[in-house]
Amino acid sequence: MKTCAIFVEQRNQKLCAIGLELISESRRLLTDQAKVTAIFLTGQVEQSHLDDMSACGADEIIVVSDDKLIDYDTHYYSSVLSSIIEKHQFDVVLLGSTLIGRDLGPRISARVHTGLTADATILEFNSTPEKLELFATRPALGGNIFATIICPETLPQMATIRPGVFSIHMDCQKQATIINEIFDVKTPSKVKILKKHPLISDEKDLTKARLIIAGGRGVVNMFDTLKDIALLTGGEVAASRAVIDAQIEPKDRQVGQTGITVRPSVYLASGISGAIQHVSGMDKSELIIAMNTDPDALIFDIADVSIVADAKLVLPLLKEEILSMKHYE
Amino acid sequence: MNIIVLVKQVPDTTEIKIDKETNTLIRVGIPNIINPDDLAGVEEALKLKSLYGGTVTTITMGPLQAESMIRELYARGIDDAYLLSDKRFAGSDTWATSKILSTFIKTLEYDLIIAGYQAIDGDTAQVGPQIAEFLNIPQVTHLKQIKKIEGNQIFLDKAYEHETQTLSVELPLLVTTLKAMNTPRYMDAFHIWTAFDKEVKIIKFDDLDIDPRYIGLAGSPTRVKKTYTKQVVPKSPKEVLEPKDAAKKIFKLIYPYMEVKSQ
Repeated sequence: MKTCAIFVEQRNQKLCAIGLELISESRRLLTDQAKVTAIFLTGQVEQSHLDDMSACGADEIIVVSDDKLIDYDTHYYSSVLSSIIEKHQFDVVLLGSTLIGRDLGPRISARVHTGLTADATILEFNSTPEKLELFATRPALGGNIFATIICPETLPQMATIRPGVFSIHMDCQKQATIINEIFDVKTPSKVKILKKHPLISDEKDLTKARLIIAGGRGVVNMFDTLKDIALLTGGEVAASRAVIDAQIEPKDRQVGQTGITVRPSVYLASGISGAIQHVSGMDKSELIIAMNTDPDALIFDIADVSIVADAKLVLPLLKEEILSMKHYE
Repeated sequence: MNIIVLVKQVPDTTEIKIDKETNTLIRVGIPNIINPDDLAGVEEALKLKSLYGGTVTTITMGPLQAESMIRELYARGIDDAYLLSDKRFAGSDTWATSKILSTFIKTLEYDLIIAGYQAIDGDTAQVGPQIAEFLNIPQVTHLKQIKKIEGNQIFLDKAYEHETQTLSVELPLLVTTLKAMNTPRYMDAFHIWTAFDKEVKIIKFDDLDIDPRYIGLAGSPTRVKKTYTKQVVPKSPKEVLEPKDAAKKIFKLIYPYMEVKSQ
């Protein structure tokens, strides 16, 4: 049987969602026509991590555990992963398009001489008993076009996949087979971690927000009001690239192709034109409310509720509405 | 300190628009610029040179028109520039591009290689790490800052999603830089004056010791199967509303999702 392998990332002994997203989506697309194998490099094996990967649909989990794998290190991780790839001869290898995945993936593809599609957002497979083909589609040229990339001559066919695009389904009953591989890297890394500084943020992770209050070029001077609305509603503020480039909001608030992908219950887009660059990061939101003065704004192509109005005038009134409601409670 | 900076000339993708009638890209009049992450790398190299001495050499692969970009880099103060340009290089994907660039870099002496994190026309972020692999040197991608260099040790901060790490690494090293790292300096009068007298060294296929099977379209493991622009049918009718009505409507829609914090 052909095999799709997924590199499952851990950071500080916490499993990253993207690994489980990729196992779930590969299982869903491949049904039982191909094997789904998780590859897990860690400092310490925790049963709950293995259970989560099983529940998402992994048939087998290749585990390598060693002190040198506690923290990500390009040399150790690329050495271990490429030797696993050479030994097991997978047809497909998927990684998250995270900072680790984008550091590790290219290094592996150069070493094993195969093609790597970067930051794909759509996955398709063609699975037959003889062949497992991967079609990875990604936005290109600033998100203006989509390109489907194949790797026809070399194996494994590799891709990094954007986090947050696929959902996690933990409904498989079967227990995955655990394969323990030994850590066998003889040469030391030339990189030493001297100190770790955790990111301290009082704000919630944007990818976990239910309600996102987003603004673009049209409301570039209104972010104080947007923040007030977010504070009053328990939502989070996000922005399009124009706002980040103008240094009004920090980079971690940027939704879109070069920012992060979100899928909240509600996405309120004020003064955002809707360039594909931005839309590709939020079009999976459950309810999209768009407000723009330009009736031809592209954002209206994907919005569930399209309001032609001047957000600069509406937002202060919206804040008042919310405040008056709060007053009665 | 001999520093190599990898630079690419790219179309300014923020200027690209879709023709809504034909659903194709409007390419006419799109300016070519220095890839922003690479320009931050050039600035970083010039800063390091002013602190530790040495040379800053840029390497570019692309068509001969990239010479205009290299003149601009001379005007910013780089010492030396190579342009790898040959019809046989055309159509290379990241793997083949990295193979060509690393084959050339092997003929040079260097302590540090700086590449932009990613190019805005491809967004792959692959060429830096692939070159580091082909050169068998360590890499630190997505750099936050270079702190200092002592002997053959470099101290720097690398940003992850969850934390920043302070690292020490043995040189030679390849790092990738981000636009946000620094503000590029202006071109200065002296360097502008001399920029057109400087040499842009053109490197052709015949100058490299490389297997022709590894380059160009034929040497690229990946293929573009198809490209398309997104076809969209609007999901909802547009309502033109007075600000007060718009505010009321939005309030009703978001109300069920609000988390009311107790005071």
